[in-house]
Amino acid sequence: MTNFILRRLAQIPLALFAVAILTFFLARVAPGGPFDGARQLPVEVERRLLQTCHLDAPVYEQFVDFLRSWLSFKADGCTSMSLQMPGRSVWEIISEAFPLSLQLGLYSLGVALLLGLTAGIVAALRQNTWMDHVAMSTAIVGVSVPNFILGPLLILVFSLTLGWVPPARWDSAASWILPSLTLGLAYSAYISRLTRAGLLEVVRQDFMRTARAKGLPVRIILFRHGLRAGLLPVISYLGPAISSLFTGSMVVEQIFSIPGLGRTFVTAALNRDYNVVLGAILIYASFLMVMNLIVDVLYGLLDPRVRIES
Amino acid sequence: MSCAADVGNDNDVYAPKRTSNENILRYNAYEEPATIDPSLVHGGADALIVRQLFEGLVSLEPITQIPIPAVASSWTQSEDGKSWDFLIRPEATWSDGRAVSAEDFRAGIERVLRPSTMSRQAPELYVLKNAKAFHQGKIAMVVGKHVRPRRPPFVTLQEDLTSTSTLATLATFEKGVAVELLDSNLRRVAGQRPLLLRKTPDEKSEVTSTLAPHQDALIIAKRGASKADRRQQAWVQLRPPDGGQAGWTREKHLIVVYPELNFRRVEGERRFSSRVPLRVAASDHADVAAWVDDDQEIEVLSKRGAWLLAVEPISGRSGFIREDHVDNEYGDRHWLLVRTKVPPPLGGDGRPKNSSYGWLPARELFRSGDLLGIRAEQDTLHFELEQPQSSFLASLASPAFFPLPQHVLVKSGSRWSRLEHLVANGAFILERRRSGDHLFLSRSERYWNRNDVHLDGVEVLFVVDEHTTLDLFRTGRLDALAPGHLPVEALPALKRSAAFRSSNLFASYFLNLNTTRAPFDDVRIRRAFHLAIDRRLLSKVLLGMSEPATHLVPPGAPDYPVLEGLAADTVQARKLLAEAGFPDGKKFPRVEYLFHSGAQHKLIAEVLQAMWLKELNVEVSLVNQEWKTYVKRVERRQYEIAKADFVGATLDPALFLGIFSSSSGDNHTGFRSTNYDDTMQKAKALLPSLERNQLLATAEEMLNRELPLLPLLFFRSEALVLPEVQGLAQNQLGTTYFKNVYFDGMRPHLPQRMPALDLENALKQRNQSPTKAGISPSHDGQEGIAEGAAFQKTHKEEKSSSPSFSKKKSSLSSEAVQESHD
Repeated sequence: MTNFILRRLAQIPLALFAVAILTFFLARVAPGGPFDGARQLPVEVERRLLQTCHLDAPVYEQFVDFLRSWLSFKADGCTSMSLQMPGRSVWEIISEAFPLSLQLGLYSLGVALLLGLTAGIVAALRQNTWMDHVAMSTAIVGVSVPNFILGPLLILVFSLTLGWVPPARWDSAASWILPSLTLGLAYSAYISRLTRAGLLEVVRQDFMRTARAKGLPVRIILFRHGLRAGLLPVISYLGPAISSLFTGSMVVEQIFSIPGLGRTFVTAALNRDYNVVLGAILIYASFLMVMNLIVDVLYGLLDPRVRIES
Repeated sequence: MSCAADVGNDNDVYAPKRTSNENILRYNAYEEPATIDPSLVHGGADALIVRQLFEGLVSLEPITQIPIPAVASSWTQSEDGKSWDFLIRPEATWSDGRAVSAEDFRAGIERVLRPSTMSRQAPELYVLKNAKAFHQGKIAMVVGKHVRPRRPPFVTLQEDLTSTSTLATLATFEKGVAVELLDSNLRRVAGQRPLLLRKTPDEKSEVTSTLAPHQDALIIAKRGASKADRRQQAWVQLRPPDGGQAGWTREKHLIVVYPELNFRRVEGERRFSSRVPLRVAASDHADVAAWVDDDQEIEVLSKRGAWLLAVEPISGRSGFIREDHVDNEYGDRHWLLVRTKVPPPLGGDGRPKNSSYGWLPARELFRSGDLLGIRAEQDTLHFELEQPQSSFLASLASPAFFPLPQHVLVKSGSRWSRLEHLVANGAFILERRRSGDHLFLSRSERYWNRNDVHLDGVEVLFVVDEHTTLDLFRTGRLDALAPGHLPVEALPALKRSAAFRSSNLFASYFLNLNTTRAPFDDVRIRRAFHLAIDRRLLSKVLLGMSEPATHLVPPGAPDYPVLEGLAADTVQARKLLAEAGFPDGKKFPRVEYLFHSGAQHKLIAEVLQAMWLKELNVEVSLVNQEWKTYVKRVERRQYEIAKADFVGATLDPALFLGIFSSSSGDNHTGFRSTNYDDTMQKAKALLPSLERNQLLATAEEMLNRELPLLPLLFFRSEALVLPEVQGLAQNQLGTTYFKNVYFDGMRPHLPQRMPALDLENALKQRNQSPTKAGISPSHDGQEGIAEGAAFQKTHKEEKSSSPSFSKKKSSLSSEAVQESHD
């Protein structure tokens, strides 16, 4: 097990490096550069702006510079600073945005798990009753309604009409509710379906029958034996789900005006702020890889059948 | 639905009760500033915040845009309008209590012009003497082979002559003339090697000598000529800063500048290493931007014959290369050549190619006071202009002319504009910020005119989404929105609200046509497309956000006529199309209409597409691109039709018309007309006058005939502002000052005296116009109309008035400007 984890951990830097290289080229393939705008800049100023960080050099030369600065672990002004906001470093920008996205992601995850698991368990235990139908049709709606519709709808009802919560911004506990719901609901719908399917499959297994035959109380059968196996699909879904929740959703952050990582990333991409784009992507990639690793480890712990042999 | 019935009543969802009763304005600016460093301002979002934090010599009266005294208490101007003296107010202080000095202004302006600052505003300062040459690095140093002046002076070109095409390849003299080498004082240099003269068939002599690699310039004249003759007839050979072939020009094109700096020339090689972080500023040959790490040992060498190079020890950690050099506590700079331990590869011209080390030519390093038309003397700031310019006074209110706190810059370097270091001199100080969300400006207790600042603070939000903004406004969480961001589809509802405010903007929306390729290389087709547009309908579809436009320059420029272009005429349009070879639009090639994402751009494109299909039977395909892609495609002229717009920074028609000169970097249509260029050239050389306006009008008429662009609309600036918010003016140029704003009933400082009499005329005029201005007395005895209940109910009247501009209406604000100016 330790070996497995170590091996996986060792792969992460390599994968990150590959991601960085890919991002480097993709960002530069996009037309336009960081200093292009509606009006032509004074020629001297534009030339200088570009030359300062070699942005006028052929891409392969820029790449060599980039590699050199990366491999020597020496960040200079041209790799560590925003090209769009003079004097602000990528690290600073991300460290301001990321905590907000984390916070939003955490609350949304709470919403998703709470609603999703409850609905899924209820639906599985009361299969084919009205509760099951209600839960599952709600889930279908939840999966199909995109959050750019759900968000404004929630705002319309709870903020503009009822006046209970603020319609946007991230500055008070009340303002956390709508974005967390908007982001969490789609995931909770997914989770509820996965939970239900997982549980239903498990219920028919021999070990469950054995447990019931032993005369264990329903509560224990369900939580100790049933959920442990039934939740495996949910767990494997949670890896990518958590990383995408925690690294920010462009749409939700836009609707609710939350200055999180998702918005930062999209703005940087539109502005061709190569360095910030790269920073945000690396955060996202490392988060994804770590989450996947955790999921794989959890998998082994939860299900004896998949425990790694090594 | 009745239109007017619900204005101001409780059903008006877009004019809610404020949720807070603090004396704090909550304003959504939509866009976040990229920087709050006045030198680096680029675009409206930066300028908005910088204008609140800093104050220039003058500021603009909110509505009329008349310059009124700010940090300068008074000024005088010379007869010829070329030199100006500004007296700095003694009570003006920085927010840390230090007095604002004339030197702070001078240093700020010099910083904008310094090439290494890379300020996008530098061209705004080209009005100052030598500023352009300085900014473009067209300054050469004279180092003759045997010339060893103790202080090498600089030679700078008066005009833009350094490109190889304008520099002559040979210096010519009369037959049989002997020439001699001169130093920069135009004195003979002894012991020189004779220059090679060559005879030509037309009885002249030519000098074929070229610059030695170590020389930047060379001056020669007829041997034994008098001093006056030398000045007239000397030739100078220069190496252009862009590294091209050296060339000759006449001495009279040059200005010789004697720097005060102590250049130290190092013969041979010296070495020393430094543990101090060293920064080498980017040179203006920016191929040699250099960066030296904290712990890197460097060698400092001199290069024979070159007067090169600055190494600047900077305290603290090194930052971004964009940081400029500021005289620091290390005192004198070292004027040396620097390179890192790794020897740089040399390019063909003997200059290093790589950026890991750098050579800096000394031409970038001098005290600008000797050269630039700006001088600080105690409490007086003196400007010298290239040529008189009437908009000069107004331009002083722009961030390019703002003062910078030198004492803070020296201490904090490029980090000076961060929250923790920032020191400013405006009506507000930056109290806190959360990037992407808001920043909070609080009333400065050190602002010289603090008694006239009524708000305790302003919370400036950066909510990007238009709909989210409306939600916040509806729920009483915002007091005012920046103009120009209301969603089109919400307009019918918004227009009925008491909070709706609308005003003219000096801005034009048009389409560029690519005149370099078929089909729009044919003026008949351009005209056909122009005539087929029903602009009234277009404006109606846009719900009155704009006025129909048949010509480029928006109404409002002082004394400038409104030159209506061709009106819609579909019969004529079809006829022209047939003449051009496409009867009934048959076989018309596929053309692309390029625009960028944005609801109204799409709407406009779709309406036009339908009109051209209906009237001309021509299919236009719409290409909607993300912003930067759109910009690049327009630049590369990969389009047939492309959306364009322009907002004037001052009320000058030449700004709009200048776009279509062939030398303009913004002319992406391929339109070239020597006639047009000449007219523009002539007009630009003149002071604002009837003659100038006539020339400009001729130019615009040319555009109306040639149609490299299809004028479409003049945009209006529309916003939501709570009715109780007063003094938040909307003017034609879109500049906003929060210092004039107050809430009804929350104005601590009441009017002290009634407005000056000479304003009455202006006000009468204004009252006839759809935008009424109330009067509130001015505070410091200067003329100025503080805006009162100006824009509140105007939109109703506006709607009933005719949508087309009449000349009288449009020239109103300009008349007001003129009158109060006298």
